[in-house]
Amino acid sequence: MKETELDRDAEKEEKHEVLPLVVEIMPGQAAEGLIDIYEPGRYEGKSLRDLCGETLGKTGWSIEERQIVEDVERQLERGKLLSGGVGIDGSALEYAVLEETEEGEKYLYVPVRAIRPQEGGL
Amino acid sequence: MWRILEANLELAVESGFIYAPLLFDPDIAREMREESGVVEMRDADGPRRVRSVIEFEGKPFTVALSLESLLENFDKLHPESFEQLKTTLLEKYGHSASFGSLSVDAKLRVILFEVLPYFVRKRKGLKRETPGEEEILDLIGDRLEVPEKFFERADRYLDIGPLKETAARLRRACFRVGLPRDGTYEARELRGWFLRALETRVLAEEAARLEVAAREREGLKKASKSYIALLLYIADLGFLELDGFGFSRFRFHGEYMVYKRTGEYALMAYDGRLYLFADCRVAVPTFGPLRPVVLEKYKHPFLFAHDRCQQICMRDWDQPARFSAPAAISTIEEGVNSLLYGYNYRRRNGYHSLDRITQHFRSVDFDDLRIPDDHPKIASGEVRVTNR
Repeated sequence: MKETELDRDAEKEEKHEVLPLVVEIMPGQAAEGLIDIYEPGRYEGKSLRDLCGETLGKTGWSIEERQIVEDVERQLERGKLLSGGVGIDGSALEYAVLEETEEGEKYLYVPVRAIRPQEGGL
Repeated sequence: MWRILEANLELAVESGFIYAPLLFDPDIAREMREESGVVEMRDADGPRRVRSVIEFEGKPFTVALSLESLLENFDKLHPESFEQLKTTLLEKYGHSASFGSLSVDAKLRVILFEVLPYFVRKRKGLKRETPGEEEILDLIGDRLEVPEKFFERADRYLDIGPLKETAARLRRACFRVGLPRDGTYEARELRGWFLRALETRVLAEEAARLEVAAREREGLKKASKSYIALLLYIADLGFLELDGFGFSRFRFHGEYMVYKRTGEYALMAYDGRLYLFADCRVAVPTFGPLRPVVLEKYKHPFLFAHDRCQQICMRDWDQPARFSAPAAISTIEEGVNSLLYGYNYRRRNGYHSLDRITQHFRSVDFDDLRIPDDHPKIASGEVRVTNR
Protein backbone atom coordinates (compact mmCIF):
# COMPACT_ATOMS: atom_id res chain seq x y z
CA MET A 1 0.00 0.00 0.00
CA LYS A 2 2.83 2.35 0.86
CA GLU A 3 4.27 1.74 -2.55
CA THR A 4 0.96 2.57 -4.19
CA GLU A 5 0.74 5.81 -2.25
CA LEU A 6 4.25 6.72 -3.35
CA ASP A 7 3.31 5.93 -6.93
CA ARG A 8 0.29 8.15 -6.67
CA ASP A 9 2.31 10.97 -5.13
CA ALA A 10 4.91 10.56 -7.83
CA GLU A 11 2.25 10.75 -10.48
CA LYS A 12 0.89 13.91 -8.95
CA GLU A 13 4.31 15.46 -8.55
CA GLU A 14 5.16 14.58 -12.11
CA LYS A 15 2.04 16.06 -13.53
CA HIS A 16 1.17 18.87 -11.17
CA GLU A 17 3.28 21.40 -12.98
CA VAL A 18 1.13 21.08 -16.09
CA LEU A 19 -2.26 20.33 -14.56
CA PRO A 20 -4.75 22.88 -13.30
CA LEU A 21 -6.16 22.44 -9.80
CA VAL A 22 -9.94 22.63 -9.43
CA VAL A 23 -11.22 23.38 -5.93
CA GLU A 24 -14.94 22.92 -5.30
CA ILE A 25 -16.27 24.27 -2.00
CA MET A 26 -19.67 22.78 -1.15
CA PRO A 27 -21.88 24.07 1.67
CA GLY A 28 -23.23 21.43 4.04
CA GLN A 29 -24.60 18.42 2.17
CA ALA A 30 -24.99 20.18 -1.18
CA ALA A 31 -24.10 18.11 -4.22
CA GLU A 32 -22.49 21.04 -5.98
CA GLY A 33 -20.53 24.05 -4.83
CA LEU A 34 -18.36 26.95 -5.79
CA ILE A 35 -15.77 26.01 -8.38
CA ASP A 36 -12.46 27.80 -8.70
CA ILE A 37 -9.69 26.84 -11.08
CA TYR A 38 -6.03 27.45 -10.23
CA GLU A 39 -3.65 27.24 -13.16
CA PRO A 40 -0.23 25.62 -12.62
CA GLY A 41 2.03 28.03 -10.81
CA ARG A 42 -0.75 29.59 -8.77
CA TYR A 43 -1.29 26.90 -6.15
CA GLU A 44 2.15 25.44 -5.42
CA GLY A 45 3.42 26.10 -1.93
CA LYS A 46 0.00 27.07 -0.66
CA SER A 47 -2.13 25.14 1.78
CA LEU A 48 -5.63 24.13 0.78
CA ARG A 49 -6.87 26.48 3.48
CA ASP A 50 -5.05 29.38 1.78
CA LEU A 51 -6.62 28.50 -1.56
CA CYS A 52 -10.11 28.26 -0.04
CA GLY A 53 -9.57 31.64 1.59
CA GLU A 54 -8.63 33.11 -1.78
CA THR A 55 -11.63 31.55 -3.47
CA LEU A 56 -14.12 32.74 -0.86
CA GLY A 57 -12.58 36.21 -0.87
CA LYS A 58 -13.00 36.71 -4.59
CA THR A 59 -15.56 39.04 -6.08
CA GLY A 60 -17.21 38.94 -9.47
CA TRP A 61 -19.21 35.77 -8.88
CA SER A 62 -22.54 35.33 -10.61
CA ILE A 63 -25.79 35.60 -8.65
CA GLU A 64 -26.02 31.82 -8.22
CA GLU A 65 -22.37 31.61 -7.14
CA ARG A 66 -22.86 34.44 -4.64
CA GLN A 67 -25.72 32.45 -3.13
CA ILE A 68 -23.34 29.50 -2.71
CA VAL A 69 -20.74 31.76 -1.08
CA GLU A 70 -23.42 32.91 1.38
CA ASP A 71 -24.42 29.30 2.08
CA VAL A 72 -20.77 28.40 2.69
CA GLU A 73 -20.27 31.37 5.00
CA ARG A 74 -23.40 30.42 6.92
CA GLN A 75 -21.99 26.93 7.46
CA LEU A 76 -18.67 28.42 8.56
CA GLU A 77 -20.29 30.32 11.44
CA ARG A 78 -18.91 28.03 14.17
CA GLY A 79 -18.17 25.56 11.36
CA LYS A 80 -15.11 24.36 9.48
CA LEU A 81 -13.81 23.32 6.09
CA LEU A 82 -13.12 19.62 5.54
CA SER A 83 -11.79 17.62 2.63
CA GLY A 84 -12.26 13.88 2.77
CA GLY A 85 -13.47 14.33 6.33
CA VAL A 86 -10.23 15.91 7.59
CA GLY A 87 -8.95 19.44 8.11
CA ILE A 88 -7.41 21.33 5.20
CA ASP A 89 -4.13 22.68 6.56
CA GLY A 90 -1.98 20.48 4.31
CA SER A 91 -0.87 21.20 0.77
CA ALA A 92 -3.67 21.16 -1.79
CA LEU A 93 -2.02 18.28 -3.62
CA GLU A 94 -2.47 16.04 -0.57
CA TYR A 95 -6.23 16.11 -1.10
CA ALA A 96 -6.36 16.12 -4.90
CA VAL A 97 -7.53 13.32 -7.17
CA LEU A 98 -6.90 13.10 -10.88
CA GLU A 99 -9.98 13.61 -13.04
CA GLU A 100 -10.80 14.19 -16.64
CA THR A 101 -13.36 16.34 -18.47
CA GLU A 102 -15.68 14.88 -21.13
CA GLU A 103 -13.22 16.28 -23.69
CA GLY A 104 -10.41 14.28 -22.12
CA GLU A 105 -8.59 17.16 -20.43
CA LYS A 106 -6.97 16.11 -17.17
CA TYR A 107 -7.08 18.16 -14.01
CA LEU A 108 -6.61 17.76 -10.27
CA TYR A 109 -9.85 17.95 -8.29
CA VAL A 110 -10.19 18.82 -4.61
CA PRO A 111 -13.66 18.65 -3.02
CA VAL A 112 -14.06 20.70 0.15
CA ARG A 113 -17.13 20.84 2.38
CA ALA A 114 -18.11 23.66 4.70
CA ILE A 115 -19.71 21.93 7.67
CA ARG A 116 -21.34 23.47 10.70
CA PRO A 117 -21.43 20.52 13.10
CA GLN A 118 -24.84 20.36 14.70
CA GLU A 119 -23.72 19.51 18.22
CA GLY A 120 -26.89 17.79 19.15
CA GLY A 121 -27.51 15.92 22.31
CA LEU A 122 -27.64 16.97 25.90
CA MET B 1 -71.20 18.17 18.18
CA TRP B 2 -72.71 17.38 14.79
CA ARG B 3 -75.20 15.17 16.62
CA ILE B 4 -76.83 18.24 18.13
CA LEU B 5 -78.33 18.93 14.69
CA GLU B 6 -79.79 15.41 14.52
CA ALA B 7 -81.48 15.53 17.91
CA ASN B 8 -85.17 16.19 18.44
CA LEU B 9 -84.57 19.53 20.12
CA GLU B 10 -85.41 23.16 19.92
CA LEU B 11 -82.21 25.15 19.44
CA ALA B 12 -81.44 28.84 19.37
CA VAL B 13 -79.09 30.91 17.22
CA GLU B 14 -77.46 34.20 18.19
CA SER B 15 -74.66 35.91 16.24
CA GLY B 16 -73.83 32.71 14.35
CA PHE B 17 -73.60 30.51 17.47
CA ILE B 18 -75.89 27.58 18.24
CA TYR B 19 -77.36 27.52 21.75
CA ALA B 20 -78.68 24.30 23.28
CA PRO B 21 -81.68 24.22 25.65
CA LEU B 22 -80.89 24.54 29.34
CA LEU B 23 -82.85 22.75 32.03
CA PHE B 24 -84.63 25.35 34.10
CA ASP B 25 -83.98 25.19 37.82
CA PRO B 26 -83.70 27.76 40.64
CA ASP B 27 -79.88 28.04 40.32
CA ILE B 28 -80.04 28.75 36.62
CA ALA B 29 -82.89 31.19 37.20
CA ARG B 30 -80.73 33.06 39.71
CA GLU B 31 -77.76 33.10 37.29
CA MET B 32 -79.96 34.49 34.59
CA ARG B 33 -81.27 37.23 36.85
CA GLU B 34 -77.69 38.27 37.61
CA GLU B 35 -75.67 39.99 34.96
CA SER B 36 -75.27 37.61 32.01
CA GLY B 37 -71.84 35.92 31.75
CA VAL B 38 -69.67 36.17 28.66
CA VAL B 39 -67.39 33.43 27.43
CA GLU B 40 -64.69 33.31 24.78
CA MET B 41 -65.51 31.01 21.90
CA ARG B 42 -63.75 30.47 18.59
CA ASP B 43 -65.36 30.77 15.22
CA ALA B 44 -63.97 30.90 11.68
CA ASP B 45 -62.50 34.38 12.32
CA GLY B 46 -60.84 33.52 15.62
CA PRO B 47 -61.76 34.08 19.28
CA ARG B 48 -64.98 35.96 20.07
CA ARG B 49 -66.74 36.88 23.26
CA VAL B 50 -70.34 35.67 23.28
CA ARG B 51 -73.06 35.41 25.92
CA SER B 52 -72.93 32.09 27.76
CA VAL B 53 -76.68 31.94 28.46
CA ILE B 54 -79.49 33.54 26.45
CA GLU B 55 -83.23 33.51 26.71
CA PHE B 56 -85.88 33.26 23.98
CA GLU B 57 -89.59 33.34 24.82
CA GLY B 58 -88.77 32.63 28.47
CA LYS B 59 -86.66 29.57 27.62
CA PRO B 60 -82.95 29.50 28.56
CA PHE B 61 -80.28 28.27 26.16
CA THR B 62 -76.54 27.80 26.70
CA VAL B 63 -73.86 28.39 24.08
CA ALA B 64 -72.74 25.23 22.24
CA LEU B 65 -70.73 25.85 19.08
CA SER B 66 -70.11 28.16 16.17
CA LEU B 67 -71.97 27.33 12.95
CA GLU B 68 -69.19 28.71 10.74
CA SER B 69 -66.53 26.80 12.66
CA LEU B 70 -68.53 23.55 12.32
CA LEU B 71 -68.89 24.24 8.60
CA GLU B 72 -65.19 24.97 8.11
CA ASN B 73 -63.93 21.99 10.10
CA PHE B 74 -66.56 19.37 9.28
CA ASP B 75 -64.16 17.43 7.07
CA LYS B 76 -61.66 17.10 9.93
CA LEU B 77 -64.28 16.29 12.57
CA HIS B 78 -66.23 13.75 10.50
CA PRO B 79 -63.97 12.74 7.59
CA GLU B 80 -65.97 9.69 6.49
CA SER B 81 -69.31 11.52 6.48
CA PHE B 82 -67.71 14.40 4.62
CA GLU B 83 -66.18 12.17 1.94
CA GLN B 84 -69.48 10.35 1.43
CA LEU B 85 -71.38 13.59 1.08
CA LYS B 86 -68.73 15.02 -1.27
CA THR B 87 -68.71 11.97 -3.55
CA THR B 88 -72.52 11.90 -3.82
CA LEU B 89 -72.72 15.62 -4.47
CA LEU B 90 -70.01 15.72 -7.15
CA GLU B 91 -71.51 12.74 -8.96
CA LYS B 92 -74.84 14.58 -8.95
CA TYR B 93 -73.15 17.48 -10.80
CA GLY B 94 -71.40 15.24 -13.30
CA HIS B 95 -67.88 15.51 -11.87
CA SER B 96 -66.04 12.87 -13.80
CA ALA B 97 -63.63 10.52 -12.03
CA SER B 98 -61.75 10.19 -15.33
CA PHE B 99 -59.86 13.40 -14.59
CA GLY B 100 -57.65 11.13 -12.53
CA SER B 101 -54.96 12.88 -10.60
CA LEU B 102 -55.78 16.50 -11.41
CA SER B 103 -52.30 17.85 -11.12
CA VAL B 104 -48.86 17.17 -9.87
CA ASP B 105 -49.33 18.51 -6.37
CA ALA B 106 -47.48 21.61 -5.27
CA LYS B 107 -45.29 19.92 -2.66
CA LEU B 108 -44.11 17.32 -5.15
CA ARG B 109 -43.08 20.12 -7.49
CA VAL B 110 -41.13 21.81 -4.67
CA ILE B 111 -39.38 18.51 -3.86
CA LEU B 112 -38.50 17.76 -7.49
CA PHE B 113 -37.51 21.20 -8.71
CA GLU B 114 -36.15 22.97 -5.62
CA VAL B 115 -34.99 20.39 -3.05
CA LEU B 116 -33.66 17.62 -5.32
CA PRO B 117 -31.29 19.93 -7.28
CA TYR B 118 -29.54 20.84 -4.01
CA PHE B 119 -28.74 17.25 -3.06
CA VAL B 120 -28.20 15.62 -6.46
CA ARG B 121 -25.24 16.39 -8.67
CA LYS B 122 -26.35 17.58 -12.07
CA ARG B 123 -23.15 19.00 -13.48
CA LYS B 124 -21.14 16.67 -15.68
CA GLY B 125 -18.09 18.86 -16.10
CA LEU B 126 -16.67 21.98 -14.54
CA LYS B 127 -19.08 24.38 -16.14
CA ARG B 128 -21.71 25.65 -13.78
CA GLU B 129 -25.26 25.78 -15.13
CA THR B 130 -28.49 26.52 -13.37
CA PRO B 131 -30.84 23.73 -14.44
CA GLY B 132 -34.42 24.42 -15.40
CA GLU B 133 -37.30 22.03 -14.82
CA GLU B 134 -36.67 20.22 -18.09
CA GLU B 135 -32.98 19.67 -17.28
CA ILE B 136 -33.96 18.21 -13.92
CA LEU B 137 -36.53 15.94 -15.56
CA ASP B 138 -33.80 14.92 -18.04
CA LEU B 139 -31.61 13.88 -15.13
CA ILE B 140 -34.43 11.82 -13.62
CA GLY B 141 -35.59 10.48 -16.98
CA ASP B 142 -32.15 8.96 -17.60
CA ARG B 143 -32.79 6.67 -14.63
CA LEU B 144 -36.50 5.87 -15.07
CA GLU B 145 -38.33 4.03 -17.81
CA VAL B 146 -41.79 5.57 -18.19
CA PRO B 147 -44.55 3.09 -19.08
CA GLU B 148 -46.42 3.77 -22.34
CA LYS B 149 -49.74 4.46 -20.64
CA PHE B 150 -48.34 7.68 -19.14
CA PHE B 151 -47.73 9.06 -22.62
CA GLU B 152 -51.42 8.45 -23.34
CA ARG B 153 -52.27 10.13 -20.05
CA ALA B 154 -50.11 13.09 -21.05
CA ASP B 155 -52.41 13.68 -24.05
CA ARG B 156 -55.53 13.59 -21.87
CA TYR B 157 -53.77 15.74 -19.27
CA LEU B 158 -53.40 18.58 -21.74
CA ASP B 159 -57.05 18.51 -22.79
CA ILE B 160 -58.32 21.04 -20.29
CA GLY B 161 -61.73 21.69 -21.91
CA PRO B 162 -63.63 19.15 -19.76
CA LEU B 163 -61.92 20.52 -16.63
CA LYS B 164 -63.06 24.08 -17.36
CA GLU B 165 -66.60 22.97 -18.24
CA THR B 166 -66.99 21.02 -15.02
CA ALA B 167 -65.59 23.90 -12.96
CA ALA B 168 -68.11 26.27 -14.55
CA ARG B 169 -70.98 23.84 -13.91
CA LEU B 170 -70.02 23.53 -10.25
CA ARG B 171 -69.75 27.32 -9.90
CA ARG B 172 -73.25 27.77 -11.35
CA ALA B 173 -74.59 25.32 -8.76
CA CYS B 174 -73.14 27.31 -5.84
CA PHE B 175 -75.52 29.65 -4.04
CA ARG B 176 -74.92 32.14 -1.30
CA VAL B 177 -75.96 30.85 2.09
CA GLY B 178 -76.10 33.47 4.85
CA LEU B 179 -76.08 32.63 8.54
CA PRO B 180 -79.49 31.86 10.12
CA ARG B 181 -81.12 34.88 11.80
CA ASP B 182 -81.12 35.05 15.59
CA GLY B 183 -84.03 33.08 17.03
CA THR B 184 -85.20 29.56 17.82
CA TYR B 185 -85.28 26.65 15.39
CA GLU B 186 -86.07 22.98 15.38
CA ALA B 187 -82.81 21.06 15.15
CA ARG B 188 -83.83 19.61 11.75
CA GLU B 189 -84.26 23.15 10.34
CA LEU B 190 -80.71 24.04 11.32
CA ARG B 191 -79.52 20.72 9.94
CA GLY B 192 -81.11 21.59 6.61
CA TRP B 193 -79.34 24.97 6.61
CA PHE B 194 -76.06 23.29 7.51
CA LEU B 195 -76.29 20.75 4.70
CA ARG B 196 -77.04 23.48 2.13
CA ALA B 197 -74.05 25.50 3.39
CA LEU B 198 -71.81 22.42 3.30
CA GLU B 199 -72.90 21.67 -0.27
CA THR B 200 -71.95 25.18 -1.34
CA ARG B 201 -68.58 24.85 0.36
CA VAL B 202 -67.84 21.52 -1.37
CA LEU B 203 -68.91 22.80 -4.80
CA ALA B 204 -66.94 26.05 -4.48
CA GLU B 205 -63.77 24.29 -3.29
CA GLU B 206 -63.94 21.67 -6.03
CA ALA B 207 -64.55 24.32 -8.69
CA ALA B 208 -61.51 26.25 -7.43
CA ARG B 209 -59.41 23.09 -7.49
CA LEU B 210 -60.40 22.35 -11.09
CA GLU B 211 -59.66 25.94 -12.12
CA VAL B 212 -56.17 25.81 -10.54
CA ALA B 213 -55.49 22.46 -12.21
CA ALA B 214 -56.60 23.85 -15.60
CA ARG B 215 -54.24 26.82 -15.23
CA GLU B 216 -51.33 24.55 -14.26
CA ARG B 217 -51.94 22.27 -17.21
CA GLU B 218 -52.21 25.27 -19.51
CA GLY B 219 -48.75 26.28 -18.33
CA LEU B 220 -47.39 22.88 -19.34
CA LYS B 221 -48.68 23.01 -22.91
CA LYS B 222 -45.27 24.07 -24.18
CA ALA B 223 -43.46 21.24 -22.39
CA SER B 224 -42.71 18.12 -24.36
CA LYS B 225 -45.01 15.14 -24.02
CA SER B 226 -42.19 13.02 -22.61
CA TYR B 227 -41.65 15.46 -19.75
CA ILE B 228 -45.33 15.51 -18.90
CA ALA B 229 -45.44 11.70 -19.05
CA LEU B 230 -42.43 11.51 -16.72
CA LEU B 231 -44.00 13.99 -14.30
CA LEU B 232 -47.28 12.06 -14.26
CA TYR B 233 -45.38 8.79 -13.74
CA ILE B 234 -43.49 10.20 -10.75
CA ALA B 235 -46.74 11.64 -9.34
CA ASP B 236 -48.38 8.24 -9.74
CA LEU B 237 -45.43 6.35 -8.18
CA GLY B 238 -45.32 8.69 -5.21
CA PHE B 239 -41.69 7.84 -4.48
CA LEU B 240 -38.26 8.22 -6.04
CA GLU B 241 -34.64 7.85 -5.01
CA LEU B 242 -31.72 9.32 -6.90
CA ASP B 243 -28.08 9.35 -5.75
CA GLY B 244 -28.96 9.07 -2.08
CA PHE B 245 -31.77 11.63 -2.17
CA GLY B 246 -35.37 10.54 -2.22
CA PHE B 247 -38.96 11.04 -1.19
CA SER B 248 -41.96 8.87 -0.44
CA ARG B 249 -45.64 9.86 -0.29
CA PHE B 250 -47.80 9.23 2.74
CA ARG B 251 -51.14 7.47 2.26
CA PHE B 252 -52.89 10.80 2.54
CA HIS B 253 -52.18 12.59 -0.71
CA GLY B 254 -50.12 15.71 -0.91
CA GLU B 255 -47.78 14.91 1.99
CA TYR B 256 -44.35 13.32 1.74
CA MET B 257 -41.29 12.23 3.62
CA VAL B 258 -38.17 13.71 2.00
CA TYR B 259 -34.79 12.23 2.85
CA LYS B 260 -31.05 12.09 2.23
CA ARG B 261 -28.90 9.04 2.90
CA THR B 262 -25.85 9.45 5.13
CA GLY B 263 -23.80 6.62 3.68
CA GLU B 264 -21.65 4.56 6.04
CA TYR B 265 -19.49 6.52 8.44
CA ALA B 266 -17.38 5.91 11.54
CA LEU B 267 -17.26 7.79 14.82
CA MET B 268 -14.43 7.84 17.32
CA ALA B 269 -15.03 7.39 21.05
CA TYR B 270 -13.18 8.89 24.00
CA ASP B 271 -10.88 5.87 24.23
CA GLY B 272 -9.91 6.19 20.57
CA ARG B 273 -11.91 3.16 19.42
CA LEU B 274 -13.89 3.38 16.23
CA TYR B 275 -17.54 2.56 15.68
CA LEU B 276 -18.98 1.83 12.23
CA PHE B 277 -22.45 3.25 11.56
CA ALA B 278 -24.61 1.91 8.75
CA ASP B 279 -26.12 4.04 6.04
CA CYS B 280 -29.45 5.55 7.09
CA ARG B 281 -31.99 8.02 5.76
CA VAL B 282 -32.36 11.38 7.50
CA ALA B 283 -35.82 12.61 6.64
CA VAL B 284 -38.22 15.48 7.14
CA PRO B 285 -42.00 15.35 6.61
CA THR B 286 -43.74 17.98 4.51
CA PHE B 287 -46.25 18.71 7.27
CA GLY B 288 -46.21 19.51 10.95
CA PRO B 289 -43.13 20.71 12.79
CA LEU B 290 -40.05 20.19 10.65
CA ARG B 291 -37.61 18.09 12.62
CA PRO B 292 -35.17 15.59 11.15
CA VAL B 293 -35.84 11.93 11.86
CA VAL B 294 -33.94 8.74 11.06
CA LEU B 295 -36.27 6.44 9.16
CA GLU B 296 -34.49 3.14 9.82
CA LYS B 297 -34.33 1.22 13.06
CA TYR B 298 -31.13 2.90 14.18
CA LYS B 299 -29.01 3.77 17.17
CA HIS B 300 -26.74 6.75 17.62
CA PRO B 301 -25.68 8.94 20.56
CA PHE B 302 -28.23 11.53 19.39
CA LEU B 303 -31.16 9.11 19.19
CA PHE B 304 -33.03 8.20 22.32
CA ALA B 305 -33.55 4.51 21.65
CA HIS B 306 -32.82 1.80 19.11
CA ASP B 307 -35.95 2.22 17.03
CA ARG B 308 -37.45 3.46 13.76
CA CYS B 309 -38.46 7.04 12.96
CA GLN B 310 -36.69 8.68 15.87
CA GLN B 311 -36.19 12.42 16.04
CA ILE B 312 -32.57 13.51 16.11
CA CYS B 313 -31.70 15.51 19.21
CA MET B 314 -30.74 18.97 18.01
CA ARG B 315 -29.23 21.93 19.82
CA ASP B 316 -29.25 25.66 19.08
CA TRP B 317 -31.41 25.16 16.04
CA ASP B 318 -34.38 27.20 14.85
CA GLN B 319 -36.99 24.67 13.87
CA PRO B 320 -38.84 25.77 10.72
CA ALA B 321 -42.56 26.08 11.27
CA ARG B 322 -43.72 25.28 7.74
CA PHE B 323 -42.55 23.26 4.79
CA SER B 324 -40.64 25.07 2.07
CA ALA B 325 -37.62 24.16 -0.02
CA PRO B 326 -35.11 26.13 2.13
CA ALA B 327 -36.69 24.73 5.32
CA ALA B 328 -36.52 21.13 4.09
CA ILE B 329 -32.95 21.52 2.84
CA SER B 330 -31.69 23.07 6.08
CA THR B 331 -33.52 20.54 8.26
CA ILE B 332 -32.18 17.52 6.39
CA GLU B 333 -28.72 19.06 6.25
CA GLU B 334 -28.65 19.78 9.98
CA GLY B 335 -29.80 16.24 10.69
CA VAL B 336 -27.07 14.66 8.54
CA ASN B 337 -24.42 17.02 9.92
CA SER B 338 -25.39 16.15 13.46
CA LEU B 339 -25.15 12.39 12.94
CA LEU B 340 -21.84 12.57 11.08
CA TYR B 341 -20.03 15.46 12.70
CA GLY B 342 -21.83 16.39 15.88
CA TYR B 343 -20.64 13.74 18.36
CA ASN B 344 -17.80 15.19 20.41
CA TYR B 345 -15.91 12.21 21.84
CA ARG B 346 -14.33 14.34 24.58
CA ARG B 347 -17.59 15.82 25.80
CA ARG B 348 -19.60 12.68 25.04
CA ASN B 349 -22.57 14.89 24.13
CA GLY B 350 -25.84 13.12 23.41
CA TYR B 351 -28.31 10.80 25.06
CA HIS B 352 -25.63 8.09 25.14
CA SER B 353 -21.86 7.88 24.94
CA LEU B 354 -20.21 5.49 22.54
CA ASP B 355 -17.82 4.10 25.10
CA ARG B 356 -18.87 2.60 28.40
CA ILE B 357 -18.47 5.07 31.24
CA THR B 358 -19.70 2.69 33.92
CA GLN B 359 -20.32 -1.04 34.11
CA HIS B 360 -24.04 -0.48 34.67
CA PHE B 361 -26.63 -1.64 32.18
CA ARG B 362 -27.07 0.74 29.24
CA SER B 363 -30.39 1.17 27.47
CA VAL B 364 -28.53 1.58 24.16
CA ASP B 365 -25.20 -0.17 23.67
CA PHE B 366 -22.83 0.40 20.77
CA ASP B 367 -20.33 -2.42 21.38
CA ASP B 368 -21.61 -4.36 18.36
CA LEU B 369 -20.60 -1.44 16.11
CA ARG B 370 -16.97 -1.43 17.23
CA ILE B 371 -14.35 -1.97 14.54
CA PRO B 372 -10.53 -2.14 14.65
CA ASP B 373 -8.46 0.85 13.45
CA ASP B 374 -7.25 -1.17 10.48
CA HIS B 375 -10.70 -2.27 9.35
CA PRO B 376 -10.60 -2.63 5.54
CA LYS B 377 -13.22 0.07 5.02
CA ILE B 378 -11.22 2.55 7.11
CA ALA B 379 -7.86 1.59 5.64
CA SER B 380 -9.10 1.90 2.06
CA GLY B 381 -10.77 5.25 2.67
CA GLU B 382 -14.18 3.87 1.74
CA VAL B 383 -15.51 4.93 5.14
CA ARG B 384 -14.31 8.07 6.90
CA VAL B 385 -14.08 8.83 10.60
CA THR B 386 -16.15 11.98 10.66
CA ASN B 387 -15.72 13.28 14.20
CA ARG B 388 -11.93 13.31 14.63
